[in-house]
Order: sequence, then structure tokens, then C-alpha cells
Amino acid sequence: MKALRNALIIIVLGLIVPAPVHAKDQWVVAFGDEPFSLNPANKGAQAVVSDYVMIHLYDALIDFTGPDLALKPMLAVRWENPNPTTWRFTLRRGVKFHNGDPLTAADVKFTVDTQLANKGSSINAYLGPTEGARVIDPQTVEITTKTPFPPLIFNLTRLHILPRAYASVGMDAFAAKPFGSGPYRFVEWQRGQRIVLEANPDYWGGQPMPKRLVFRPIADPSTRAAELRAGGVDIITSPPIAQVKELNTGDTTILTVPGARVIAYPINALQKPLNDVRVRRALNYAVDRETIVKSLLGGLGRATGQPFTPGWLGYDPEIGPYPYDPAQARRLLADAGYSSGFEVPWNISVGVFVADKEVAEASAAMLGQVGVRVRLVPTERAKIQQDLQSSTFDGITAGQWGTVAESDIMVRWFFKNPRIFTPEVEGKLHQLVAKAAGELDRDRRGKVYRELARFAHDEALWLFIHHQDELIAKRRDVPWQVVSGRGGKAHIYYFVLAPR
Amino acid sequence: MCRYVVGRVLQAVVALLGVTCVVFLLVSLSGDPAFILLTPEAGEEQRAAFRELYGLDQPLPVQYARYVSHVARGDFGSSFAFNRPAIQVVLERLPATLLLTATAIALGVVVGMPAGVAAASKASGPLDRLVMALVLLGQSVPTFWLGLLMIRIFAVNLRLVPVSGHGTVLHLVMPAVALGLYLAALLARLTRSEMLEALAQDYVRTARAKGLSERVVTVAHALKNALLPIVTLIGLQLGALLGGAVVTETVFAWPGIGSLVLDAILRKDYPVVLAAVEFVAAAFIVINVALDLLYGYLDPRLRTART
Repeated sequence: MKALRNALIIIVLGLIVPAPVHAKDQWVVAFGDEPFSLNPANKGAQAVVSDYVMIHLYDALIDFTGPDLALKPMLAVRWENPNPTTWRFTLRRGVKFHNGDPLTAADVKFTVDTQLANKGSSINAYLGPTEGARVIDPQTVEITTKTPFPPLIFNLTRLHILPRAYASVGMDAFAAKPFGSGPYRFVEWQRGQRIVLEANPDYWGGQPMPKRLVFRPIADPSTRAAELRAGGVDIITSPPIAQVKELNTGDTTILTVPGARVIAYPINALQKPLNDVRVRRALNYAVDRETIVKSLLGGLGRATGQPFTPGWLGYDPEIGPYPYDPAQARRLLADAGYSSGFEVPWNISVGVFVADKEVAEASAAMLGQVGVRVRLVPTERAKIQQDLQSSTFDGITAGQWGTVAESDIMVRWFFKNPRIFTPEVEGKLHQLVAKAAGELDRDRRGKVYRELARFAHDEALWLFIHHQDELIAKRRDVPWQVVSGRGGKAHIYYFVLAPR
Repeated sequence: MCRYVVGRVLQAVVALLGVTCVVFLLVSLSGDPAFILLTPEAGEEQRAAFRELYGLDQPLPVQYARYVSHVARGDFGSSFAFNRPAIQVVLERLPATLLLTATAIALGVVVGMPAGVAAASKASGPLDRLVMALVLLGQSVPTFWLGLLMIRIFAVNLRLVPVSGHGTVLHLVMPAVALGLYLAALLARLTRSEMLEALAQDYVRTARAKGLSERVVTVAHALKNALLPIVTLIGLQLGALLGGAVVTETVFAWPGIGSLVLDAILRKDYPVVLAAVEFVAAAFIVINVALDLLYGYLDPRLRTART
């Protein structure tokens, strides 16, 4: 009887304990969130994390690489501008979709057409004034725009090329079993649990590594960290700041990537007393950024005084952060006629970005030291975005500056759409935004952006604080390092984690 | 009996309408989904198209009327985020929720009720004090803290169970214990106080006078009479847990309804929120009716009072 019971236990245990896959062959990556869909042409919404997974399933025409994010051939081996509104791409030969169909110019045209029709989506915005695509021959395709649109070439790095077969498969069936030409093939998606991909042995870019990739959504950062330490996952994004030291010992290690995300606090410069540049500068002089970065972010960020981050078009190393100078802040306030300070509301997000509430609270306390009485208003993220775009906030608000491809979109989001500037400032901003948008030459566009950065700094249009480092933690035995670009390797966000 | 059930169902429909109306208003007034579901890359043109796609450009009363008429035909709409039927999005999380709920409640009953009975039958003794101390602990320790502590000890240090996720029996252990201990504490406290009351009743003295064993007196006489409030509590907890145990699910990355709904609320994906709320409300109503029927079985006096 006892023997029988023991035998049963062994059988049951055998059933419930899955056979371990060799660690080198499978990497499990844990994000905080789950994709909405793995269909790049999903009608409407798409989560940022969707892209992290989709870049493994699909290829784009172009990629960017290197610390300066230079453009690099992907499906397109060459491209040129026969005229300012036409982009001609020569496609790589011999590329196949996961179902065996060859990838040709017709697929590129199909993708452009599909996303142009997908009006209620973010990817549609990337196409800007794109008119359509034209097949010249199977290896040549032209994309035309109504007006010159230089950011297009960068934005195309986000355009996952779909197979024409999408149309016959149908949207729902395709979303259930998506396929592209990327380094990994779709295996399964258990909602809320895992997405499994396997290496595409026929990938044009070479043999992808590892053989299997598993993506898991784990919302709680402490749980992600624990999974990593226990060996349940191999790589996690955004580990808890408080555990960074601990995760940098033993079997696990932390990778830091200077991020493109700036924690920005736009100021409504139309409202008294913030319409006075002296007052806005005073706010910037009153905040001790170094202390904030050191004590609240554990040093994992950089104090900043401009919208652009290193590596991105427009970054100007000459523009430093405002120095911490409360005496100067008081002088400026007195000059502006506010020696006894004033009261100002500030809408903040809570728990959306790393230490967002704490950073705002610390800044508010520092502003209090120079007499600016801040009223922090925790606000929902959707409302924050809506208020900035429709200029319906008072005082200071929160914003997320995060460029994924080209700065053009963020520049418009922060400096063109909101009507929160005095006419002179607005005139100058709109002139710079328009100039950059029409400038085909990348270096010259960068120069215009640098001018914009200098102007935003001098006019103190934001309460500048810092830009965050992107943190990734991994098992030490996973042979990845952070390099930018994308190719036949597993990667996260716009940074590849490639074998050494 | 039949009239009673029909009455309850009609009440339920009215209650459901009320619930959807409130939730609909709360979710739609708290922000524009187009601003949260479309990344900032999208411009006003894209947001307008997105609103049109899901009828969000219509006035609220029109949206609500359309929603109710669709639901009446069994169409809960499409999730703004996932672009799939909202009810499907909710129901595919149901098995995980049911599994966790059933295990946690079973654990709560198996641990909590005997503890409560034992404490009551030795009231003020050392066992009672021990049980009450544990109850206090079980009810006051925050679930997320207990969860993280268990993860630290049993998953990271001892490697006995996986940290998080879903799939094997081992995955179920920690979430079920975290949730079950809280329920056990709740049940032990209630069972103890109800038992103390029942044990002081005349019929218990009569039973003892008849010479019945203490065991029979406690279980068959006192416990049966103390069951009514306990069953009610279990029913209410069952209903609440079907809506998902948000904290437990989040800490253990358990793919249940709770974490889904939390995300849906933050994303303003109200077809999913509404579908889940309606599902939970419906479950509550079913549980309530079932409880009412059970009361009649447990307490014959209620049976005659109703007819």
C-alpha cells in the first residue's frame, strides 16, 4: 500500500515538474508588462512592450546602431532620395518569411498601405505625411511623402514589415499566430503568462542565439528581482532601485544603459508669474539635482538641463544642468517682484516612472526653501498627457520625454502642440520645429535641434531634473552585453543584448 | 420557491444595470483612453481616429445606451487595448482565478474552522490564546509583505517552489497559502465567536445532560448552529475572490482576473473593466441565491418563514 502511494507520488511529481531545458538554449526575459498584440497592424492601441517582442518576429527596412544611433541596412541594403519627397530602397535578396514566402517590394508596399489605413494607431503617426509606396521591381520600392519628411528614415526603423499573406490570413488569425521575417518564430502565447519564440534557422542575418526566447510579464519589480535571483528568469528590465546593489552580487549582475527618457516638468509659461523667464530660471536654480540623482535614484541617472540625451540628435554637451544656487534663485525672484514667493500647483504622476513621486516631493521641498510654495497634485497619466496637449494645466505638469526613433515626434509633443508659451517664445519654437522638420540633412537638422535645446534651456521652459538610466539585470551566466542596434540577436528596447 | 428565484434574478438585472452605469461613468470620466493607449508618438489625428474606431467620439449617454443594448445581446464589446472581445479577455483568466480561489478557500476552511472550534471549546486556555494570537497576525500582516517574505525564504533561499507564475502545482503553493492564511484567520475568529455563543445556549446544556460526548455536542449541535454566519462569510469571500485577488496575483505574477482588471482600469480599457465587473456582479448574485437556499437547509426556521 505504502509502496503504491510512493509510486503515485513519484508519478504525480513527474507530471508536475517540467523537464528543465538546457540553460544555454533558452533565455527567459521578464518585463513589467505584457504586449497588447503581436500584430504590428493591431487596430488602435499598442503597448511599448509589444515592440520589445515584435522586433524579434519582424524586420524593418533599416535599423540603427552604435552609440550615435547611426542608420544601418536591414531589409534594405541601400536607400537614396531621388528627390526630397521620394525614398528609394533596394531590398536584400533571398529574405523569406517564416511561412516560406519570399519578402519582396510588394510586401513593403502592403505594409505601408496597411499602416496608412490604420489611422487610429501610433505607427500611423510615424508615417507622417507619407503618401504611399510604389513597387519598382521585386527588389526596389519607393515611398513617397506629400512634403519633405526627413524623420521618415528614422521612423521606418519602427515599421515592422508584414507579409502580404496577412490579407488572406485575416487580422484575427494573424494576431493569433503572427509571422514575419525576423530572427525568431512565434511558438505560443499563454495570456498573462508567457510568450514563447524559437530561433528562425533560415534567418538572413545568421543563426540567432539563444534557440528559445520566453517573455514573461511580472508586474512587481521585487518579484522580478526574486525570479532572477532564484534562476527562474535570466534577464529582467527595471529592477527595483533599492535592490541594485544586491543584484550586482553573486549570480546576478546589473547592466546600465544611459537612457533616452527625460523626466520633464513643462511649465505653463503663459500664466503669471511663470510667464517671467526670471521666475522660471529661479525654479531651476532652486533644485539640487545632484542630490536628487544621488539619494533618490541611487546615482542611476544624470542631472540635465536640456531635452535631448547623449546619442540622440540634438544633444549638446555644452549645455549643462542649472547649478544649485538658492541665493541666485531668491535674487531672481526678488527682481521679478516675488521676494515673498508665490504658490503654484504641480501635477505629478505617482508610480509611473522610477521614483517620480519622491523626485517631485524633494524638488517641491527645495522650491519651498526659496519661497515657492508648491502644491503637488497626483494626477492620472491619461489626464497629464491630455492636459499638456490641450494646454489645460496650471503651473507645472509632468511629462515623459522618451524618443524611440526620431526626436521630431517628441519635439512636436512638447514644443509645438501645447499653447503654453508667450507669443515671442512660441514664434521662435515653431520656427525651429518647422526648420528641423524640413531639413533633409541629418547634421544640419541636429544643429537646429541643438539650437532648440539651447533655447529651451535659456528660457527655462521646463523645470529640468534628470534623465534616467535604463536598468537591466541578468544572470551572470547569460552571455549578453548591451550594444545598440538590432540584428539576429535577442534584444530589448533599442538596445541589443548580444553575445560577447 | 420559483417565484423567489425569479424575483432575485429581476433584482439582479436592476443591480447589474446600476453597477454598469456607475462603472461606466467612473471609467469614462477619469480620462481619455486615446491618451493612454496610444503612445505619445500618436498625434491628434491618430487619437481622433482611435476614438472614432471605438465610438468614443459620441456623447456619453449615447455611448452608454449603445453599450447596454449590445450587452443585452451578449456583446460586451472589444477591448481597446487587445482589440479582442472583452469577455474573452476576461474569461481566459477565469481558470487561474478559480483555481486560486478554490484552493485558498479550501485552505481557509480546513485550517480556520477547526482552529476556531478548538479555541472556543477551550476558551481562555493556552490554545485559545495561541489561536487568537495567530489570528491577529494573520489578519494584520499585509498580503504583499507575506508574499514577498515567502518568496524570499521558500523560493530564493530554499528553492522549494518557483517564485512566480502559473502552470504546475508547485506554482500554486505560495499564492494559495498567502491568500488562504488570511481567510483562515478571518474564519477562525468568526468561528470562535459564533461557537462561544452557541456553546452557551440551553440546547448545548441539554445535549450534555443527555450524556452525549463533547465531540458530538461541539460538532453536531453547536457547530451546526454556528454555521450560518460562517457560510455567509465564505460566500462573500468567494464572490470577492472571483473578482481576483489583486495583491496576491500581482506579487506572484498569477494570471488571474484581478491583475487584468487593475491594468484595464489604469489603461482606461473599460470594455474589459465592465465585462469583469458584470461577471463578478453576476457571480455575487448567484452566490447570494445559493446562500439563501443553503440557509434554508441549515436552519429549518428560515424555510418556513419564507413560504
